[in-house]
Amino acid sequence: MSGLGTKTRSRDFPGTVEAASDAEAWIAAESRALGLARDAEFAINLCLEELFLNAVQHGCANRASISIRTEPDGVRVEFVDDGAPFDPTVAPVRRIERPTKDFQIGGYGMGLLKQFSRHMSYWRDGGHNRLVLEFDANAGR
Amino acid sequence: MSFIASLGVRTLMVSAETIIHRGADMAVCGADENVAKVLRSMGFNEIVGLYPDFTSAAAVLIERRAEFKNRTE
Repeated sequence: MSGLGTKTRSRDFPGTVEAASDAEAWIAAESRALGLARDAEFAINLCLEELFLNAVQHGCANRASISIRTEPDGVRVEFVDDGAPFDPTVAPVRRIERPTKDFQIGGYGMGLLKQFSRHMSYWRDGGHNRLVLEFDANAGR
Repeated sequence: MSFIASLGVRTLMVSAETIIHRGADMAVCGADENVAKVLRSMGFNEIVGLYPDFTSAAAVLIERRAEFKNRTE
Protein backbone atom coordinates (compact mmCIF):
# COMPACT_ATOMS: atom_id res chain seq x y z
CA MET A 1 0.00 0.00 0.00
CA SER A 2 3.00 2.31 -0.08
CA GLY A 3 2.07 5.56 -1.85
CA LEU A 4 -1.60 5.33 -0.86
CA GLY A 5 -2.96 7.13 2.16
CA THR A 6 -5.57 5.90 4.59
CA LYS A 7 -8.98 6.07 2.93
CA THR A 8 -12.41 4.74 3.90
CA ARG A 9 -15.39 3.96 1.69
CA SER A 10 -18.75 2.86 3.14
CA ARG A 11 -22.20 2.00 1.88
CA ASP A 12 -25.46 0.59 3.24
CA PHE A 13 -27.43 -2.11 1.41
CA PRO A 14 -30.91 -3.60 1.85
CA GLY A 15 -31.02 -7.19 3.08
CA THR A 16 -31.99 -8.80 -0.20
CA VAL A 17 -30.33 -11.38 -2.43
CA GLU A 18 -30.51 -8.89 -5.32
CA ALA A 19 -28.50 -6.37 -3.31
CA ALA A 20 -25.60 -8.84 -3.21
CA SER A 21 -25.00 -8.04 -6.91
CA ASP A 22 -25.07 -4.31 -6.14
CA ALA A 23 -22.56 -4.88 -3.34
CA GLU A 24 -20.30 -6.84 -5.71
CA ALA A 25 -20.34 -4.03 -8.28
CA TRP A 26 -19.71 -1.42 -5.57
CA ILE A 27 -16.76 -3.39 -4.15
CA ALA A 28 -15.23 -3.76 -7.61
CA ALA A 29 -15.54 -0.02 -8.29
CA GLU A 30 -14.20 1.00 -4.87
CA SER A 31 -11.32 -1.49 -5.06
CA ARG A 32 -10.21 0.10 -8.32
CA ALA A 33 -10.66 3.60 -6.90
CA LEU A 34 -8.56 2.65 -3.87
CA GLY A 35 -5.87 1.13 -6.09
CA LEU A 36 -6.10 -2.38 -4.65
CA ALA A 37 -4.36 -5.31 -6.31
CA ARG A 38 -6.53 -7.72 -8.30
CA ASP A 39 -5.97 -10.53 -5.78
CA ALA A 40 -7.06 -8.29 -2.91
CA GLU A 41 -10.19 -7.30 -4.82
CA PHE A 42 -10.97 -10.96 -5.48
CA ALA A 43 -10.53 -11.90 -1.81
CA ILE A 44 -12.66 -8.99 -0.56
CA ASN A 45 -15.39 -9.65 -3.10
CA LEU A 46 -15.44 -13.37 -2.30
CA CYS A 47 -15.61 -12.90 1.47
CA LEU A 48 -18.29 -10.23 1.29
CA GLU A 49 -20.46 -12.29 -1.06
CA GLU A 50 -20.28 -15.17 1.41
CA LEU A 51 -21.13 -12.89 4.34
CA PHE A 52 -23.87 -10.97 2.54
CA LEU A 53 -25.76 -14.03 1.29
CA ASN A 54 -25.32 -15.80 4.61
CA ALA A 55 -26.70 -12.80 6.53
CA VAL A 56 -29.71 -12.44 4.20
CA GLN A 57 -30.56 -16.09 3.58
CA HIS A 58 -29.79 -17.58 7.00
CA GLY A 59 -29.71 -14.59 9.38
CA CYS A 60 -32.78 -12.86 7.90
CA ALA A 61 -30.94 -9.52 7.94
CA ASN A 62 -32.88 -6.45 6.80
CA ARG A 63 -29.85 -4.19 6.39
CA ALA A 64 -26.14 -4.61 5.86
CA SER A 65 -23.31 -2.13 5.59
CA ILE A 66 -19.81 -2.50 4.18
CA SER A 67 -16.82 -0.34 4.96
CA ILE A 68 -13.47 -0.67 3.16
CA ARG A 69 -10.47 1.08 4.67
CA THR A 70 -6.95 1.11 3.30
CA GLU A 71 -4.19 1.12 5.90
CA PRO A 72 -0.39 1.12 5.63
CA ASP A 73 -0.17 -2.66 6.10
CA GLY A 74 -3.29 -3.81 4.26
CA VAL A 75 -7.03 -3.42 3.87
CA ARG A 76 -9.56 -3.51 6.70
CA VAL A 77 -13.14 -4.42 5.74
CA GLU A 78 -16.04 -4.18 8.19
CA PHE A 79 -19.31 -5.99 7.51
CA VAL A 80 -22.28 -5.14 9.75
CA ASP A 81 -25.74 -6.72 9.57
CA ASP A 82 -28.85 -6.74 11.74
CA GLY A 83 -29.55 -10.44 11.34
CA ALA A 84 -29.51 -13.29 13.85
CA PRO A 85 -26.34 -13.54 15.94
CA PHE A 86 -23.67 -15.39 13.97
CA ASP A 87 -19.93 -15.55 14.58
CA PRO A 88 -18.09 -16.72 11.44
CA THR A 89 -14.78 -16.93 13.33
CA VAL A 90 -16.02 -20.02 15.21
CA ALA A 91 -18.35 -21.46 12.55
CA PRO A 92 -17.50 -25.04 11.53
CA VAL A 93 -15.64 -25.38 8.22
CA ARG A 94 -16.98 -27.99 5.82
CA ARG A 95 -15.15 -29.39 2.77
CA ILE A 96 -16.50 -31.46 -0.12
CA GLU A 97 -15.56 -35.10 0.36
CA ARG A 98 -16.28 -38.44 -1.21
CA PRO A 99 -18.70 -40.13 -1.49
CA THR A 100 -20.52 -37.48 -3.50
CA LYS A 101 -23.92 -39.00 -2.70
CA ASP A 102 -23.51 -37.55 0.79
CA PHE A 103 -22.90 -34.07 -0.60
CA GLN A 104 -24.84 -31.47 1.37
CA ILE A 105 -25.76 -27.98 0.30
CA GLY A 106 -24.47 -25.19 2.54
CA GLY A 107 -21.77 -24.60 5.13
CA TYR A 108 -18.80 -24.30 2.75
CA GLY A 109 -18.41 -20.54 2.53
CA MET A 110 -17.07 -19.90 6.04
CA GLY A 111 -13.90 -21.84 5.24
CA LEU A 112 -13.27 -19.43 2.37
CA LEU A 113 -13.33 -16.46 4.77
CA LYS A 114 -10.54 -18.03 6.80
CA GLN A 115 -8.60 -19.03 3.67
CA PHE A 116 -8.76 -15.67 1.90
CA SER A 117 -8.48 -13.18 4.77
CA ARG A 118 -5.45 -12.51 6.94
CA HIS A 119 -7.42 -12.09 10.17
CA MET A 120 -11.05 -11.97 11.33
CA SER A 121 -12.58 -10.51 14.47
CA TYR A 122 -16.25 -10.58 15.46
CA TRP A 123 -18.41 -9.02 18.08
CA ARG A 124 -22.13 -8.56 18.71
CA ASP A 125 -23.07 -4.94 19.16
CA GLY A 126 -26.57 -3.64 19.92
CA GLY A 127 -28.43 -6.18 17.84
CA HIS A 128 -25.86 -6.16 15.05
CA ASN A 129 -23.21 -8.62 13.91
CA ARG A 130 -19.91 -6.83 13.34
CA LEU A 131 -17.12 -8.61 11.53
CA VAL A 132 -13.77 -7.07 10.66
CA LEU A 133 -11.68 -8.80 8.01
CA GLU A 134 -8.09 -7.89 7.23
CA PHE A 135 -6.44 -8.49 3.86
CA ASP A 136 -3.00 -8.07 2.35
CA ALA A 137 -3.46 -5.18 -0.08
CA ASN A 138 -0.43 -6.08 -2.18
CA ALA A 139 -1.26 -9.76 -2.59
CA GLY A 140 -0.39 -10.95 -6.06
CA ARG A 141 1.48 -7.79 -7.08
CA MET B 1 -13.84 -18.02 -15.42
CA SER B 2 -12.51 -15.14 -13.31
CA PHE B 3 -14.71 -15.31 -10.19
CA ILE B 4 -16.52 -17.96 -8.17
CA ALA B 5 -17.91 -18.15 -4.64
CA SER B 6 -19.33 -21.08 -2.68
CA LEU B 7 -22.72 -20.72 -4.40
CA GLY B 8 -21.11 -21.30 -7.78
CA VAL B 9 -19.06 -24.22 -6.48
CA ARG B 10 -22.22 -25.82 -5.11
CA THR B 11 -23.82 -25.51 -8.54
CA LEU B 12 -20.76 -27.14 -10.13
CA MET B 13 -20.85 -29.86 -7.46
CA VAL B 14 -24.49 -30.71 -8.14
CA SER B 15 -23.65 -31.05 -11.86
CA ALA B 16 -20.57 -33.16 -11.06
CA GLU B 17 -22.58 -35.40 -8.77
CA THR B 18 -25.11 -36.09 -11.55
CA ILE B 19 -22.43 -36.67 -14.21
CA ILE B 20 -20.29 -38.97 -12.04
CA HIS B 21 -23.25 -41.06 -10.88
CA ARG B 22 -24.19 -41.60 -14.54
CA GLY B 23 -20.73 -43.11 -15.13
CA ALA B 24 -19.37 -40.13 -17.05
CA ASP B 25 -16.41 -37.91 -16.20
CA MET B 26 -15.90 -34.19 -15.67
CA ALA B 27 -12.93 -31.82 -15.60
CA VAL B 28 -12.41 -28.12 -15.03
CA CYS B 29 -9.88 -26.34 -17.23
CA GLY B 30 -8.52 -22.84 -17.56
CA ALA B 31 -9.60 -21.65 -14.13
CA ASP B 32 -8.15 -18.36 -12.93
CA GLU B 33 -5.57 -18.83 -10.13
CA ASN B 34 -7.94 -17.43 -7.48
CA VAL B 35 -10.85 -19.51 -8.78
CA ALA B 36 -8.65 -22.62 -8.56
CA LYS B 37 -7.76 -21.64 -4.98
CA VAL B 38 -11.48 -21.46 -4.09
CA LEU B 39 -12.13 -24.88 -5.68
CA ARG B 40 -9.17 -26.43 -3.80
CA SER B 41 -10.15 -24.74 -0.52
CA MET B 42 -13.60 -26.31 -0.71
CA GLY B 43 -12.22 -29.73 -1.71
CA PHE B 44 -13.86 -29.69 -5.16
CA ASN B 45 -10.57 -30.81 -6.76
CA GLU B 46 -10.82 -34.10 -4.85
CA ILE B 47 -13.95 -34.92 -6.85
CA VAL B 48 -13.23 -33.21 -10.19
CA GLY B 49 -9.76 -32.69 -11.68
CA LEU B 50 -8.46 -29.18 -12.33
CA TYR B 51 -6.33 -28.66 -15.44
CA PRO B 52 -4.55 -25.61 -16.84
CA ASP B 53 -6.09 -25.86 -20.30
CA PHE B 54 -8.54 -27.77 -22.48
CA THR B 55 -5.86 -29.89 -24.16
CA SER B 56 -4.49 -31.31 -20.90
CA ALA B 57 -8.01 -31.90 -19.52
CA ALA B 58 -9.12 -33.65 -22.71
CA ALA B 59 -5.99 -35.83 -22.74
CA VAL B 60 -6.67 -37.08 -19.20
CA LEU B 61 -10.38 -37.70 -19.88
CA ILE B 62 -9.60 -39.60 -23.12
CA GLU B 63 -7.00 -41.72 -21.30
CA ARG B 64 -9.43 -42.52 -18.49
CA ARG B 65 -12.13 -43.41 -21.01
CA ALA B 66 -9.74 -45.80 -22.77
CA GLU B 67 -8.78 -47.43 -19.45
CA PHE B 68 -12.45 -47.83 -18.57
CA LYS B 69 -13.22 -49.45 -21.96
CA ASN B 70 -10.28 -51.85 -21.59
CA ARG B 71 -11.48 -52.95 -18.15
CA THR B 72 -15.05 -53.53 -19.27
CA GLU B 73 -14.41 -55.26 -22.64
